[in-house]
Amino acid sequence: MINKVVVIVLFFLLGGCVEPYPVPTQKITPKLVVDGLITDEPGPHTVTLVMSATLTDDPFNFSYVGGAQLTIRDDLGTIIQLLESTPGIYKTTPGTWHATLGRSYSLKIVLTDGRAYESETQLLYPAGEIIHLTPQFMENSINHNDPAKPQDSFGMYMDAAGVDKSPNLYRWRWIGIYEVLSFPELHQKVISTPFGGTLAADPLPCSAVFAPDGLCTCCSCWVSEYSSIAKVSNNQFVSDNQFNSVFLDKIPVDRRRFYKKYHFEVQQVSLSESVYSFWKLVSAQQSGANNIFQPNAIKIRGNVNSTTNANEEVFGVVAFSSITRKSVELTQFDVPAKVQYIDSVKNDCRTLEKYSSNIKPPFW
Amino acid sequence: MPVSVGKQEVPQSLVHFLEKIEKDTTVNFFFLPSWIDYINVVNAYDQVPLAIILDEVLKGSDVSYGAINSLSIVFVVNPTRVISRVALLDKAIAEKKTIHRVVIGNTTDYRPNVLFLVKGVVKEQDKLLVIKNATIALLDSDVGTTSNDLGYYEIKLPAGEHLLSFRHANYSEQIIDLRLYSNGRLDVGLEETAILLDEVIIVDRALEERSTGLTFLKMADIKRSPTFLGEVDIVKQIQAQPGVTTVGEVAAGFNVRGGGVDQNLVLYDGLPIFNTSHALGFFSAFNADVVNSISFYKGGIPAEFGGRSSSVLNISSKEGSYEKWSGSGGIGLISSQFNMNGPIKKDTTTIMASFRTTYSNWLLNSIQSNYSNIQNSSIAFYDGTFKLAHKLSAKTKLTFSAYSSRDQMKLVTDTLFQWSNLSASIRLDRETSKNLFYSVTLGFGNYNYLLREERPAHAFDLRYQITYPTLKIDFNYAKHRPTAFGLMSTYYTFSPGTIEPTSFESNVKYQDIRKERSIESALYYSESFKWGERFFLETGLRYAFFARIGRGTVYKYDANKPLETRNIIDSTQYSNGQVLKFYHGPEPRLSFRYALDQNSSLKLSYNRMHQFVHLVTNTAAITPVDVWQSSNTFFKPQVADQVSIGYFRSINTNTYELNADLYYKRIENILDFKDGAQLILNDKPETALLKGIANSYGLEFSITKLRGRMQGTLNYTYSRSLRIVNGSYDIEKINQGKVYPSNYDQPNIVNFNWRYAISRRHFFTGNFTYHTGRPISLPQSVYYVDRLAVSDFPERNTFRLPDYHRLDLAFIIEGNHKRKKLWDGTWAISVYNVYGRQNAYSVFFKENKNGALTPYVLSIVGSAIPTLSYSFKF
Repeated sequence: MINKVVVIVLFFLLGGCVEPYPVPTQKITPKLVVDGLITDEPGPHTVTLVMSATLTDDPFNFSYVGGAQLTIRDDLGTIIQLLESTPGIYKTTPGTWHATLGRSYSLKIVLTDGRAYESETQLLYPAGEIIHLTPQFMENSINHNDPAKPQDSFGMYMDAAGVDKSPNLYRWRWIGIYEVLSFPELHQKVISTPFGGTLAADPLPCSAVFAPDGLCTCCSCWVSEYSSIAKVSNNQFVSDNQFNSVFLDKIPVDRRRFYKKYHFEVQQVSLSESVYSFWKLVSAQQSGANNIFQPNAIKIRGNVNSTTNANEEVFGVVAFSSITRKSVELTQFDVPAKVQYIDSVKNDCRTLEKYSSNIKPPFW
Repeated sequence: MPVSVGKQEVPQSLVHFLEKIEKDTTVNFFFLPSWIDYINVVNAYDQVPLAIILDEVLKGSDVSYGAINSLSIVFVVNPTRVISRVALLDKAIAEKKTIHRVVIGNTTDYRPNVLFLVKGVVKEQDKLLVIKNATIALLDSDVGTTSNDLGYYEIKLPAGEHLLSFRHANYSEQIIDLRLYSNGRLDVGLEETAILLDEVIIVDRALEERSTGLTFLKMADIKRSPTFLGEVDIVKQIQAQPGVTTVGEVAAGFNVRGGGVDQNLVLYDGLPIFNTSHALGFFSAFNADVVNSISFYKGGIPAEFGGRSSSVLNISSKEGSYEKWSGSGGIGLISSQFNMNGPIKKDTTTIMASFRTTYSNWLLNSIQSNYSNIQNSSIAFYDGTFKLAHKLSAKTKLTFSAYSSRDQMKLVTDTLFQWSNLSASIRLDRETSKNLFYSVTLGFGNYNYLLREERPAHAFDLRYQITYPTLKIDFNYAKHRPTAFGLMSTYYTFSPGTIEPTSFESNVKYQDIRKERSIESALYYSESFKWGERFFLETGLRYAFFARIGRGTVYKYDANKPLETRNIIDSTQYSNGQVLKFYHGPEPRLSFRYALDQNSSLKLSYNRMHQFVHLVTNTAAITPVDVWQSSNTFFKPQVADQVSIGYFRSINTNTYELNADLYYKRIENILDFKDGAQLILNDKPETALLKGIANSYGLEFSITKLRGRMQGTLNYTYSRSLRIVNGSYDIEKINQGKVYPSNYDQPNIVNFNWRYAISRRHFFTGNFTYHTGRPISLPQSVYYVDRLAVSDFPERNTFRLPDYHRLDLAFIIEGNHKRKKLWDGTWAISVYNVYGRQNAYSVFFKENKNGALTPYVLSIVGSAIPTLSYSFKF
């Protein structure tokens, strides 16, 4: 917050500037990253094993770690095996097992080379309740410096409650889903002629033009977007386990998101102390990142440790959690300002955004 | 000349003596009586050859004699000294220096070559304020001394005529045309330097250099330096001293010899000030126009001072005139200031008041921008001082002094920051005899800040406060050797934080972290020794005490686990006044100087300091909402040991000065923070902080040109500031317990400042500064958990910001130099950052499209900043 004021002074009075700073490259040994969330919902529950990437690597070209043996053990001695569905992605068998409130769990990992790891044992705490989820239209609230981008947004607020005699350590994450249209039958390509390049019709194969049943499979898609900030409960300043008016995020109001409707779901995830500490550090890293007073770097420690080499550092976290959810739908009629008609994208709608799919969500 | 002289009356004048011999013998003398009329024959001679008598009587005088024949003796006067003296007098007159003729003793007592003792007190003219560290020196020789803490001095001079100079950085030089014929007292009152007067040329600054780490800042220099947005800034001048750095050009505070910002004791009229900056560090919180003197110790710290482990910045404010009313003011781009002073009762009671405020809000509100609420933002500050001095008698004075500063900042959001300093003191100064002076100061200090959120759903006020009433008693005794002793005690009340909801809808829970009370006290004694003209030793011992007192709770943690809330196994409650923890320890101080010859000296100093209050911050630059933490069961006091060795040389008859200092400093029990720790409103701060050791060392080198149209200083420092935090558990280590550079480790620092006098009223001044970029931490790898990118910072402070350098220039046009004038104006045209370098202030991060943190360098000042400012006196 403070930085904004200084930035004002900097840009308007003193001609200050912001320049990218090239990170000097150092040889870094990739480390094992564990990303797992095991809940009391039916599942399947997933644990992903990858190797960490350097800043110059393609971050989504993950180097998955396959062939490992993953087992969950509870405080009754029950052992649940996770099976590798695709390389590096390990899942519990759907519908056969889920975690239970009040039980304690840990995860054990054995790699093909014999290196073994184990997570801290965690007690599964209840998730409490999300009481209200309230969108609030906010005019001129985003992208101040870029008028080409949406300026209005919906601020998403919620009221939630914890549970008595529970640590009430929570993380809130959200998923937004909206439908987009595209027009792949209008796709064009450039062809060469003696008079130069010209555009010619080039309908995409997934469009209705080529479909035997006349149905387009890439004209209508559902885009998912996820919370990009680590939001954890701040129990210190909250009374009676009530988390009121918790600000979750701002959803930009634009012609794509509000073409039909915007489905917003928030999840309240209960956390053990170690997992809460992890997310709190991530949150501190995120919020401190743009603080111009330059907070010292935060070293984030996970809750998985090597049992074969105490000096080996392991990234990531495995959480055993309970989840409670609440959702709300917004349409363009909820927007006080006029929403323009969706733009005519002449492409496969699945390529429009990172998480874009032509599979209609069951609740849509 | 075979004449022997029989028994004569003594004493008698030489003229009379010669006349008698002429009468009694056949010898004739040829002389003008005025050449020798001040010379006396004081010893009784009986049948002593005349040549022996004349040799003895004339020894040390400018008169010599020769025999033309056995019966004719001619006296001759050597004109060199007279010519030199006349030239010096003419020069002083041309420079409009104040010259007073003083005669001590009677000419009949004159004995050539006999040393007489002159002693007295140097004071402010028309005031009771004594001036310590004033230089008293003969203009035509290297003999000199300095005044002690009582303003008292002693100097031995041969009988005869002398031009004696009294000077101090902040006062006009006074020349005493002295005729000395016996021991005597000479009290001198110096007039405060109007900055319009020419600079005092310090002929022999070695005399002033009592210790290796002491610097006097000249207010005239500060006011003639280039400014940032027209604000004359004391702290920025401190930052230009060798061995001093800052984490950024607009960062609050300064770092001395590898120490933290909180390790500087900043005293304003004797009371500590916790926040020395306005507007997050853009400007100094002290109005230079009402500052009387600044002394800055970075080593060899006298026993009088304590409580911080790195340096002492002692600022004393001006006292009003006892004779007439006057005022001054200044108009700058960002702020304006005005002050008035004068007698309430002539020669008895005087008052001085100043006020400075900003109109940055107006500027901010005038800005047209795409930020929706920028006009609702505000940055405002003010500071004010008040001083009332009343002479109870010729030797007793009572002074009330108050200082207040306040900053307010409202963000484009609904968050308001407000922080303020207040200090007030009553001081009694009494000179019980010419050798004993004491002062009793009773003061009250307060530092507080408020963080206010105004959005109804989250509305709250977060308050933080430190109060510190202080009692200080100092004695200065100077009969045989300058001696100082005294005691101090401060009662601290830290209110670590209160947060309270301020609207019905607010979901904020009221929380009040229990107040922490403590008492810091000290006794000290110091004495200075001088052996001959070569050895000077200032020794001292300070004994510090600290008690953390109840109420309070001390938690007991599982000894086999890290200090974390979940590892609390018990707690002990302490009631009001009960001692939770007591620390004490001696602080030896030593400052030694050995004059190798008339132009050079070697210096050595050692000091130990305890620090019982610590600034807890997790940022490289300090912010207004940082927290001060007192020592307690878990936080031992910082203990700093510093040794430094220095060499001083004056070159080319004091035209140049050369200084070199080598130092090593080790501080135990420094505090660093745990990763991601919450520092505000934390009732168990021991779970958020780590203890470590700081080591720093360096070489400071400076060369100064003191004479001529072009004057200036070039200094270079090589220094390192390293830390080690190696707790018992992984989470209690930083960089796996290895040595790492502190946030302000800047090995190479160069400062060059100069002043070129185009005429007596026009100056072209400038300064250039360079330092190695300070350490930063950068991520080296990235991974994803639940689609969120997490960056891994392998180690703290392994990279560095780009090097910092900047050139500032100023052109100063001062008013005429007439002493009697109604209005005196000075224009300053200043350009800050002349070549528009975009120096890095800090590194921050933005998430790239993949969510990974990408570093960006922020420059606060990215272009040349010209400023025109006007100051006036009347």
